[in-house]
Amino acid sequence: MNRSLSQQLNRWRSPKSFYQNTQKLVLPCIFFGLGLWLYGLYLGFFEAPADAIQGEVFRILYVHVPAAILALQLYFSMGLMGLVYLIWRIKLFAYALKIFASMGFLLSVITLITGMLWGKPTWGVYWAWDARMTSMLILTLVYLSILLFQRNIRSPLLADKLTAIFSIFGLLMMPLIRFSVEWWHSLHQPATFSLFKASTMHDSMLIPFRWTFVGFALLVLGLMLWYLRLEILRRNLLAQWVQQIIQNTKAKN
Amino acid sequence: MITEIILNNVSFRYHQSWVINNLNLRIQSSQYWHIQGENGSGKSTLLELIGKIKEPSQGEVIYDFHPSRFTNSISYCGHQLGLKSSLTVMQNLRWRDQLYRSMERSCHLEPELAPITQQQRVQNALEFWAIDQFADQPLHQLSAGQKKRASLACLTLSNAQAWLLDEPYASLDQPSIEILNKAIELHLSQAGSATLSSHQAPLDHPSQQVLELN
Amino acid sequence: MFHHLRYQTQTLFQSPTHLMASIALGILLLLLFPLALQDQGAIANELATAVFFLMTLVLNSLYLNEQFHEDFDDGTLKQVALQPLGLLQWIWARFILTWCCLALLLGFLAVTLVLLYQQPHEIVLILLIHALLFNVYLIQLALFISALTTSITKNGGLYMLLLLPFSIPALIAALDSFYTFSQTQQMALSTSLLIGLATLSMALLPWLGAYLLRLQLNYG
Repeated sequence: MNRSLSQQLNRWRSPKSFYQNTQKLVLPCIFFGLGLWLYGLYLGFFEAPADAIQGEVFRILYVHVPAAILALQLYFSMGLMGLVYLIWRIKLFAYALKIFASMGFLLSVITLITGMLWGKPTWGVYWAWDARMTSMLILTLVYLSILLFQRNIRSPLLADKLTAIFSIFGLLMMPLIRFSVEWWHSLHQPATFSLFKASTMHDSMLIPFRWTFVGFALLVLGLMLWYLRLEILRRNLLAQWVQQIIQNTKAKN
Repeated sequence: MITEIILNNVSFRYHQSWVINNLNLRIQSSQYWHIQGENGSGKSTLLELIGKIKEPSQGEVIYDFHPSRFTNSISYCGHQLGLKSSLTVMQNLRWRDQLYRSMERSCHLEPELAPITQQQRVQNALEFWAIDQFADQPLHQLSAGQKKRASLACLTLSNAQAWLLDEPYASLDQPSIEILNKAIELHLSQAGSATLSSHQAPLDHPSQQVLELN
Repeated sequence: MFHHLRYQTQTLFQSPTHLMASIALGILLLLLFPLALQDQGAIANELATAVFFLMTLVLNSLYLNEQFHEDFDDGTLKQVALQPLGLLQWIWARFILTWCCLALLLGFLAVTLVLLYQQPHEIVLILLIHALLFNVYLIQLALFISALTTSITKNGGLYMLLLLPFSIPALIAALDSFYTFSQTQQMALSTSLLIGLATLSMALLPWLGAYLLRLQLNYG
């Protein structure tokens, strides 16, 4: 089959073929991811030795760190997807922006809460206005704003375009904010603490990280894929192929 | 000399449905277009597309204007007033007049007639639309019909070739309807064009053309 | 653009309650913040200038709320959009009007602060210049957020809270530059950053705002 590159790309970017092609991916992704994550958590909570200084509390990092890394990655991807959507108008990316924002919001809230739960026994405070925590808080606010956009704007086309522009803007502002807060602290608080003393952790504590990170990433990917497929159906409700699927599902039940 | 607005296969999509579908239209000078359709059939959207306030999802809207007595291409009068209700009629009309004059500068159309001052232009418009006694009153103190007349008075200020009117007869009393009809007839006789949407057609003009939207 | 400026100024002076309320709030904040510190006199004097910048931030986020809602609702935005570059000129006019009003207010508050909290008189000018540069950035950002949320009818005002996190770089630059300049009489790196942010926001954000308003008219 001699299809040109642009024809093949067109096949992938249409919501319909994306929906059909990912049918077999979703459930394996979720279950595999869940399995790996739980295995990693088991290793982390029961097999890894307790930290000399922090005691048992450090185990919450096995939940906190993957969530934080993924929240940041999703933010970065959203900025890029927004740019691609504005330039090339690929509808799939517009749907994905909405899903990424919901998942990103959830992940950043998990990061903040687990971070606070870890911070209190370890450093004595629930919160400090250092670069990392402030950035994560701002991330949460941006994610929340995007979710509210999607909810409060009646026209989906308008919501998509505004979300894309705002994601790009948010992405560009983040390094600036991070840099300025770090700089402020370096000038005025010489004794800053680093939240990620994980670099001094022993190997046996790091192994569960691999499992929890990969597992959590797969789990998040699987869940996002599921909701993305639902969003494709929801947005193309009047299309014939969607009506066909609805009828088939009704016929089965 | 033909002066016209051309719509080429124009479509507009809102939410998941296509409000306007593959529309082809030519609005030429001295033509009077009456757009009819039920509520929600896209009359307002079509007028906004013609006025280039909205961009079509597909197709294009082309303006083909040649030098004539008119110095502006279009003048749009929608459902909303386009005026600030906390300001007086005079302040509002002055601003709209300045808007149209700056549009002229960007259109680079040279007026054939001798220019008159802004004060005189605004005064002429106020008198034509019978609202000169309200000139210094804030807009919010006027009745709905008087407010609408103030909004329509901007058509006279614009010196535009094509008039686009969205339900202009709404909230007008009989004397006001007659003033509007007189204005449209005068405009058409000077080789201008008028495109309007309304449920009824109080003006029965010989060159009337009807566009039905469904 | 000047006909837009005149029109907007006329509109503002017909209904200045919003502006008046913001002015009153600014004055209150400045007078009462020592109460929050439980009247520790010396610390209050030191912190007064820092609080001045924070107060500028709060004032902006309260006053600049939903700047284009009314224009969108009463149809004036549509009329402005008929002109090429009309929306851009409209935004510029709003920026100039707002900046001038807030400049007067901040000038008054800066003098009040210096008198009330026993600061040396020379710093009024330095404080004011920094606050005005900070204000350029804030107003441009607030107008951008207003343009983004024009067609949101429910709780549109909440989005202005986004001004707080996005203003952090400029706030830090302004604070650092002010303290460095008032102590050493020399321009710091942060001064360049502040000027850079103000210039960049003035150059880019009005265009972005005009594009956003056009989107609102198209699909809103």
